[in-house]
Amino acid sequence: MPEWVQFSAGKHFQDLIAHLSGRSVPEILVMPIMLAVILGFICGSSLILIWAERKVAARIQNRVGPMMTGPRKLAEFSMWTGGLLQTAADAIKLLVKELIIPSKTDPVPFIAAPVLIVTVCVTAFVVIPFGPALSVSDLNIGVVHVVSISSLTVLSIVMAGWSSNSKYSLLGGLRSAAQMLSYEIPLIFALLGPILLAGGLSMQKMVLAQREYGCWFFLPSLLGFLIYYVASIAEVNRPPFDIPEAESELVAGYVSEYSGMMFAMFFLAEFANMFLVCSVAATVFLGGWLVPFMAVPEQMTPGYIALGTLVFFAKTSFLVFIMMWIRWTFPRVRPDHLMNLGWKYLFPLSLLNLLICAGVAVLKDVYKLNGWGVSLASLGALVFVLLLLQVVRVPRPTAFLEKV
Amino acid sequence: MDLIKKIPAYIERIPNGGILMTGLDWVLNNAKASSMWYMLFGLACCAIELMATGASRYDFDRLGMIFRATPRQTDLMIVAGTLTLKMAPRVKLLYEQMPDPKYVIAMGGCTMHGGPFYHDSYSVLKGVDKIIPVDIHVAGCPPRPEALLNGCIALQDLIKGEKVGRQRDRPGLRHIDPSTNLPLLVRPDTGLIRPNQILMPDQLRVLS
Amino acid sequence: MSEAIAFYVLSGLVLASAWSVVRNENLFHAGLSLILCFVGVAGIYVNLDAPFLGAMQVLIYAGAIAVLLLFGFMLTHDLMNAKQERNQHAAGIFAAVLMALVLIGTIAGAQWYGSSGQPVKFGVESLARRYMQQDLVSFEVVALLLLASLMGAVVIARKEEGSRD
Ligand code: SF4
Repeated sequence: MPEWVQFSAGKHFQDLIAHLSGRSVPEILVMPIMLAVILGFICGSSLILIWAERKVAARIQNRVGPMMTGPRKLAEFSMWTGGLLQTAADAIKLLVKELIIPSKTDPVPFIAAPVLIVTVCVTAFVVIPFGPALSVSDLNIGVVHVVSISSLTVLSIVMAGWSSNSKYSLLGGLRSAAQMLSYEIPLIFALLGPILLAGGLSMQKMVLAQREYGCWFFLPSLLGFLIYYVASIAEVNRPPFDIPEAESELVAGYVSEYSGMMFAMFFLAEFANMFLVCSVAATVFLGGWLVPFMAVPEQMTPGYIALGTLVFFAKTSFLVFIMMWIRWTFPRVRPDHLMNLGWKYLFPLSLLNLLICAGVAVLKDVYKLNGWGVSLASLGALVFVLLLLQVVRVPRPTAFLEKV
Repeated sequence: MDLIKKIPAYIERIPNGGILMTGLDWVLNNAKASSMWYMLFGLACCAIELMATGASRYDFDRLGMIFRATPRQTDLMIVAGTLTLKMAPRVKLLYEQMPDPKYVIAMGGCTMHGGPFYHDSYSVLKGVDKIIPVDIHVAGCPPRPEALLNGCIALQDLIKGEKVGRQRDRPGLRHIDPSTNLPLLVRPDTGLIRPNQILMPDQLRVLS
Repeated sequence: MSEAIAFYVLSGLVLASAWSVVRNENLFHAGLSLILCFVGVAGIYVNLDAPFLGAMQVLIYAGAIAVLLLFGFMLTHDLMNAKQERNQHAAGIFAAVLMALVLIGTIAGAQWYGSSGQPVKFGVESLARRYMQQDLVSFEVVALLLLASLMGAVVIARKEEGSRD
């Protein structure tokens, strides 16, 4: 097993500084610097993601999207090169906007909520392996860390909703709390399958386990991957599960009373969270930075690190793109349908997924069968079970839509 | 907050500060002009035209304009349609809920002088600039989307001419009664009494 | 050294926020302080080399239970002015003294093991061994208990057969 991939980015940074200036960075400074780097990364990636979202939306709606902001010469070339500076302009504008704190709000939670949501986001990014040996800190509770830290997001939303002292914010906060609490459970259970297969919680171990397995974990736990993806769309409050900020009924949900920079922080966190859940999905189910058809070298090579990082970002961007696609294509789900879907369908199915994964793990580890073959067999078993469910006529996923 | 507003004035005093401020002006004005988020509301038939402008053929998003449903996050209010006296307090409230810097485009004849309702209407506010300051008037009944887009581009030019830290020239309100600080809907010189004289102050006092 | 500093800072945080839970007049603020308290306790766990426990503390207590609590507050009327009743001083003091006596008694009578060894590195396998082999019976009993309470909740919440709403 190539140990070097668990090397942390903080160490790289220390080595680099030592190499350049011959001085060592004190340990206590490394983490703050790394967190600042993550914050910068989040801001940068959100700038790109927001632009991309608007372009994808425009393409889906047969428009061209932002074109006038940014280099005009490039915009003449194609719609995908227009408006490159749009998000930067938005950010600067939001910076100079007036900050309104309405007089009837509860100021402390009102101001703390956007700060908390960005902090949570930054902290959760600590364990994400952006490439081989490129996670800020490869904690050995990696997956649990992400899940538990991002469960605090709902706290920030509740705080925002309550302290705004407005009906719409409150309703948005309530809906979001209910939604996030119930979708967290299928989300965690869907992650349990790969955890079982990998036999560890650390993110880099997860990637290495997929290398050992010979196939990415979305194959043995396809159900888990789908459940995770659906539940994570609900977790980040994106359409079709955006009932907490539904524009047509709740103005803007819990962000109704936020203006200027504080709103920008919520906006930033939304996109950063989207990137976070997608990068977790890419790491846990799609092999993270593993380059397809290429062995991981035993020694650290900069080329492989670069390639791996590229592959990681490609996988994550693909998942993010699917999320945007879903957002602009599907209508919003009704709240009770949402709860039904989460509790009655996703949760039991995630248990089924856990069972399948356990079976695969036993066949692979105890009977020493080939990982690939076992995974394919598990897929077959899944299809069989689903067919069986069709035959014995338990309520089908569409049946509840007709009933209520 | 006051201090921040004074910073530009201080910067201009240092040598060559003017150049710095020009650069800053350019960046901020361009940012503001290319990201005018407008408020999602419409009052009458003009709103249909507003929607058409947002949709795929004309596409507001090209100018970086997207709608936000809450006034707290908008920069631009497009008053699209007939503003009735009953609705007027709400529109004024919405305007006041928007954070500075904020701009208003009055779209359609109704918002300028009452449009088709200019004569003999007891219920229509004849010109939204009686209650909120309007930057750009777009004529038409309804204006075509091209006209609205033209209005938006005119507003962008207006924003680009601003100076940071200076009070901007606003086309003010019309006919404000200095004693009550309320807009007058009755011509003060003739003292002509119309039904809305009784209606208006009651409705607008709630807000001021 | 740094661990000791972290411990004292975190303990201060926990105590202060716990005090605020009890003394804060505003229910919502009390709830928020409770969450701060939970997070502080999680920090202490992490400081004691039990990161898994810390993460679980954040996930379950701060992220789920306390948020449900806040959820409850938000559904109450008159939300900005929800005040705590403060007429149970005598009972409170009595309970506190009793609790203190018990705690002091336990702490004074306990055998304290000091060890210079390093704490065990956390691994899921060790956790699983613990649950699935050593403590299997108690684990199952707890699971059964939870199941029973779950079923009880369902029975209470369930509407009568045939009655619509
Ligand atoms: S100006 Fe004409 S189109 Fe516009 S709201 Fe008035 S009547 Fe309707």
